[in-house]
Amino acid sequence: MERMLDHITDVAVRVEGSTLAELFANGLQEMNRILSPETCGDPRQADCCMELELNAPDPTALLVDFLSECLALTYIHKALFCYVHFPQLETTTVRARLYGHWFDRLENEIKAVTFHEAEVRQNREGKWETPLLFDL
Amino acid sequence: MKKITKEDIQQRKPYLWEIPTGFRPDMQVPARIIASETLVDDILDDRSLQQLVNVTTLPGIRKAAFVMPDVHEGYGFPIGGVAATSYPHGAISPGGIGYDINCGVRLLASDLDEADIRPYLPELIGALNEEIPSGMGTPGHLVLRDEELDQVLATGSEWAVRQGYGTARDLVYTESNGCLPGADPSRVSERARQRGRDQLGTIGSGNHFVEVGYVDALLDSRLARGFGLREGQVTVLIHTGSRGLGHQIATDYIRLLMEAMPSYGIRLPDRELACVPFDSQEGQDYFGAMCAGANFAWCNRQLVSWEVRKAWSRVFGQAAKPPVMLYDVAHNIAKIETHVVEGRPEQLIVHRKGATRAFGPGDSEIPEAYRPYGQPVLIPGSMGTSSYVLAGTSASSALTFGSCCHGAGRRLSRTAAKKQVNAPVLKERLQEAGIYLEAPFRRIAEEAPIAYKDVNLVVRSVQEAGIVVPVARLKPLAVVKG
Repeated sequence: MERMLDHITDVAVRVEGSTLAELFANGLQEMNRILSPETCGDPRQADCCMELELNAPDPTALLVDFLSECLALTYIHKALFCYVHFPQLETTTVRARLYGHWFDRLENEIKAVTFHEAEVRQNREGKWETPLLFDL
Repeated sequence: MKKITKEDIQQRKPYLWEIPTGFRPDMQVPARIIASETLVDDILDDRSLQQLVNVTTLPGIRKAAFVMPDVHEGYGFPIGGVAATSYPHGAISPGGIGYDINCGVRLLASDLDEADIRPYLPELIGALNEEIPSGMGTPGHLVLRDEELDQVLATGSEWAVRQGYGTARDLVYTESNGCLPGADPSRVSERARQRGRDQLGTIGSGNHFVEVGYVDALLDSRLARGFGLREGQVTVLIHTGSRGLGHQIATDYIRLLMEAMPSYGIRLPDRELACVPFDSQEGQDYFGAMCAGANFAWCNRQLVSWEVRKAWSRVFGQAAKPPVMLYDVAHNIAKIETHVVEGRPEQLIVHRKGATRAFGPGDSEIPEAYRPYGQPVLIPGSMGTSSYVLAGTSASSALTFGSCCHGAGRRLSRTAAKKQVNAPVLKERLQEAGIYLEAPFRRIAEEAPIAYKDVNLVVRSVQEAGIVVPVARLKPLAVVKG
C-alpha cells in the first residue's frame, strides 16, 4: 500500500509491505507508477529479464540502492521492470530477478531515489514501512 | 525537527534576514535569507529553513548559509541554497549541488524582431519540437563511443565546437568557457556512462524547456547595450542539465560519501547532506566526477543550441543569421572561488544548489566584452510569465559569495498544481495571448504559472539586496517542454 506525502518539488510516498519483500516490490511498483502508469502489462509476456545482487549496511540503504539500480537499468535498457522475484532478501542483502517491458517513452523522469527521511522499520502492526522521496 | 517561525528570524536589512547561531546548538554559522517580507512569509510555509539550518552544520562552513528568494524545500539542502566551506579541508557535499549537476540556463539572441517572427511561430515551434529530443526515453541524435564520451567529460562544450556543433564565440560566453579543468572522467562510473551515452542534445522532462521569447523591456539601457540586447529582439532560452549521467554521478557519490563520513568523524542531521573533506580521496574523486558531469551538461546545452539553430535555418532559410550566444550559467555546481570573509580574501568551495553565480564588474571570470558591466545572470520565469536578464554587482561577492537566485521558485506541488489547473484551457489562453506551447497536458498543468512564485517579487528582492542590477525583461512567444 502506498500513500502520497506532501512535497513541493518532488514526489514523496509512504510505502508499506507485510514483508520486506512486499515493501521492496511495492517501492518498485510505486516508482514505475511515477515513470509510466500504463506500460506494465501481462507478467507472463515480459520482454526481458535481468538479475541483480546488492549488499548494504542497513535495510534503508538496501531499499534505496535496490530502487536506484532498478532505475538505472530502466533507463539503460529502456525497459520498465514491472515484476520482481527475490531468490534472496535479507536486511542487508538482496538478490532479485526483474521482469521488464520495453517502452518508447516515459511520462516522467525520476532523476534519483533519495535518502531524504527514508527509514525502513516495522510499525506496531508488524508491517514494514518507509517514506520515499523521488527526485523529479 | 524544530519548526521555524517568524519569531526565530531577525531582520538585518530590508531584504536580509537571519536565523542566529543560537537557534540550534549544532549551527556553526548563521542562516541568512535574501527576500522581501512577503516572500519570507511564503518561505516559512515549507521546510526550506529547517533544511538551511541543517546546512549551517557542515564541517568548515564559512560566514553563513544562504537561501535566495526563490527558495523552496528540497532534500538535504533546500533548492535555492548557497554554502561555502573553507578550501581545501572543508566539506564537499554532493547534496549541496544536487542530482542534476550543472543544470543551468543559456540565452541566445537573434537579429530578428518580435514582429518579424510572429507569423512563423507555429512553424518554428514545430521545427524546434522535431529537432530537439524532449521527454523521457527519447534518445539524442548522437550515441557516443567510450573515447568520445571521455573527451566530452574532459573538455565539455569545447568537444562540441570541435565537432562543428557550435562556434568559438559560444565558448567565450559560457561560464568557465564550458569546461571545468578539474574533471576526471575515470571517476565516472560505468552506470553513469551508460545513462549518458545517448543523451547529448536532449532537454529531458520536468521543468526543463526551450523558450523563444523577446525583449519586452530594457531595464538598464547601458547594461543592455553592453550585453547586445535591444527592445523587441527575439531570444531563445534553454534550460537543461547533465541528464542521466549527472543524476547517476550524484547517486553513486552520495552513497559512497555516506559510508565514508564516519571515518572522518562527521555526523549530520540529514543523510542527503553526506559530505567528506574536500581534500580527502573520496572528496577529490567526487569533485573530479562532478566537474566531468558539469562538462557533460555544458556540452548538452551546446548540442541543444545547435538543434535550435538547425530549426532556425529550416524556418527562416539558410541565409538567416542563427541566434548567437549571449551567456550560459550553471545553477547546480560547486566551484573553488575567492571571496572576502571577515575582511580578508579567502579561497572557498562554493556550493550552489538552485543558485546562480553573479560576479560583479571587473572580474576576470567574466568575458572581456561584458567585464565593465558585470556577469549576466539569467532568471527564467514560469511558463507564460516574464524572464529576466540581470547583471552581478561588485557587492555580491561580500554579500552572498557572488550568488543570486535561479528562477521563480515553486510554491505548489505538482499534485496540487494538477488539481488546480485545467491544462487544455490554459494552453488555449496562452495561445490567445500569443504564446505557443508544445508540451503534454500533464506537464502544462504541473508547470503552470500558478505553481510558481511571482518572478517579479523574486527579482525585486535580489535587486534590493544589492546582488544584481536588472538589465532586461523577456516575454515568451513559444515554449517546448518535455
